Amino acid sequence: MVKYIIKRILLLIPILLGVSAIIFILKTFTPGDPARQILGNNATQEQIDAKRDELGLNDPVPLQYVRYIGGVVTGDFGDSYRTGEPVLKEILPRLGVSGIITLGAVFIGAVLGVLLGILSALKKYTWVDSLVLVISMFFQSVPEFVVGLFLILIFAVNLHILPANGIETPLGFIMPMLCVGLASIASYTRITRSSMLEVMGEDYIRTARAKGQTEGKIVYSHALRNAIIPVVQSIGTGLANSIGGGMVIETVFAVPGVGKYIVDSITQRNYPSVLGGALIIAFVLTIINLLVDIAFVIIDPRLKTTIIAGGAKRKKAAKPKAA
Amino acid sequence: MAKMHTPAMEKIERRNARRKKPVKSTPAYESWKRFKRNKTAMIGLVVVCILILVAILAPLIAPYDYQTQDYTAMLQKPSGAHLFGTDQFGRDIFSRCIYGARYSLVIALFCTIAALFSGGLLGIIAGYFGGKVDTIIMRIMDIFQSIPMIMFAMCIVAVLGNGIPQLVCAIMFASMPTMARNNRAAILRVRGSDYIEASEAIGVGQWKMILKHMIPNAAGIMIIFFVGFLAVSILMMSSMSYIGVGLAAPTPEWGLILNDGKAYMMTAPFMMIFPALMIMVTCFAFNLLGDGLRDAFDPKMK
Repeated sequence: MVKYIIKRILLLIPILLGVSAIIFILKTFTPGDPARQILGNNATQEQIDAKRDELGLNDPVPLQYVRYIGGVVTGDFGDSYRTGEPVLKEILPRLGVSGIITLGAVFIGAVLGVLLGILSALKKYTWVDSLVLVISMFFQSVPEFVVGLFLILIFAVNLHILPANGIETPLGFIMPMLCVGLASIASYTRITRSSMLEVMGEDYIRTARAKGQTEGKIVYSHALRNAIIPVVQSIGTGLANSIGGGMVIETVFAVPGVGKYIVDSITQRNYPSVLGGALIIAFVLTIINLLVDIAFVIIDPRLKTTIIAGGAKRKKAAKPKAA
Repeated sequence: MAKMHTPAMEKIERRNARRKKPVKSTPAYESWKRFKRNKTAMIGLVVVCILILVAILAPLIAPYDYQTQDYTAMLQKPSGAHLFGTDQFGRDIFSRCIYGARYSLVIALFCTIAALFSGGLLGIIAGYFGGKVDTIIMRIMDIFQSIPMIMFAMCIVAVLGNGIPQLVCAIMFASMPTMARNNRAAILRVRGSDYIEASEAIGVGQWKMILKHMIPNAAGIMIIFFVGFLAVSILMMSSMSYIGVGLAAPTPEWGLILNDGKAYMMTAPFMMIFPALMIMVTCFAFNLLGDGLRDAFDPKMK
C-alpha cells in the first residue's frame, strides 16, 4: 500500500513536467513580444532589449524551461505580465472560489445523477426510464453557458432573486454551481443505472427479498451501497470536466475564480499566468485523483486488487497474445 | 404431421410467399433492426438529417444574406419579415442561424475527423502493438489528459490565433487523449478474438491485419465515439467562441451569434434564445443518435 502511494506520487513528476513542457512550447511559439507587451507601445528599443534580458527571453528555450521548472519547485511561478504580481499570489485566493464552485457542482451533479439513475434502474424500460434518459441527455446537450444565460434571464432579470454576476453575496454561487452541476448529471445517471441494474440481479438481493426485507431497505442498504462504488470512482473524471466547464461559467457570471483568471490571461496573452494556472490545475486534479483512489482502497479492501493491480493488468491485456 | 390451417398460419404463409428471398441476417442488418425499434434514436436520426439538409440548402432557405447589414431594421423583434428578429447591425438572425448550421456542422465534422485520425490512430497503434509502445503512448496521453480539455483547446487557440483551421487544430489536440483511449479500448476488444489469432497464424501482415481485420470489426464502437464527439465538438466550439476564444466575427457560428446578443440580453433576449435553441437541438439530436447507435451496435453495453 505504502509502496503504491509512493509510486503514484512519483508518477506526478513526469505528468507535471509534461504539462509544463507542453504549455511552455506553446508559449514560445506565440507571436508577439512579451517585453513590448509589458512596457507598452511607447517604450524605446533599448528599454525593450533591457526588459528582454531581465526576463531571460534571449536565452535558449531549454534553458528558459529549466529555469522555470527550478522556480516552480521553490513555489515561484513567475510574475504576471499585466500586474507584475507573482502568479502564485494571484491564483491562490482564486483557487478557493473555484474550489467551492467545483465541489458544489460535483455535489449537485452526483446527487441528482444518482437519484435519477436509481429511479430509472428501478423503473427500467418504462416511460420513467425514458424520461430520465431524456432529461439527463438534455442537460448534457446544452452548453453550460447557455444554461447559465437562461438562468440569468429567469432568476436575475425577471424574478430578481439571484444576482446576475459576481459573488458579493453567497447567493452568487448558486447559479454557477447549478450550471456546471446540471451538465454532469448524465454521466452519473448512466453509471448509476447500469451499476444498479447489475447489482439488483445479484443473489444477495434475491436472498434479502426471500427473507421478506422491505423493498426500500433492499434498494437502500443492499443494492445502493454496492452499486455506488463505480459512481464515486467516476467523480475523479467528473472533477476534471467540472473544472473545464467552470472556466467558461466563471467567465459568464464574472466570478473571480481560477477559470476566469486563465481565460482573461489567454485573451491578454499573459503567459506566465496561463502556464501557472494550468500547472496548478493539473497538480490539483492529479492529487485529487490520487486521494480518491487511496480513499477507496481504505474504504473497500476488495478494490485493492483492481486499483493497485490496475496498471499491471492493463499491461498484460495489451500484450499481444502469445499464440 | 398434417399441416395446420389456422388463419394466423395462413397469414404467415402468405407473408412468406410474398418475400422473394429470405432476409440475410448480417450483423449490420441486425444492428439496423435494433436501431429502427428505438424511437428516440430515430428522432435523433431524423433531426440530424434535417440539419444536414438545412446546412446544404442554406442559401435557398435563408431569406437574407448572413452578413448584410440593414440599419433601418436594427434589434427588431421576431416578425413575419424576420422570423427570429434582427441583431444590432440589422442582420437577420434566422438567416445567420441557418448559415450557422453550415459552419457549426462542417467545423464539428472536421474536428471529429481530425481527432479520429490523430488520437484514433495513436489508440489503434497502442492497442495493437501493446507492450512498450502502448505504455509510452498512453503515458503521454495521461499527461495531456491532466489538463481539462477545453482549457487545453483555449491555450492552443491563444497561441495560433482565431480562425477555423486553428480551432480545428485546437480541438483535435485537446481531444486526442480521449480519442486514443476509446479507440485503444475498441481495438483491445477485438484483439483477443479467434479470427485475429487465425489471421496471425496464416501470416497476415501487421498493417493488413489492422486495416482489414481489426478496424472493420471495431468500427461499430468507433462510429459511436464519432457521433458522440460531434456533439462534444459543437459544445466546445460554441463555448469557446462565446467567451471570445476561437472564431472571429462575422462568422455565423452559433456561439458567436450568442456572443453578439450578450450585450442586449435585457432588451432583446430573442437574440440569444434562437441560436441557443439551435445548439441545444443539434447536440441533443447527436446525443440521441449516438445513444441509439450504442444500443444497436452493442446491446451488452446498455
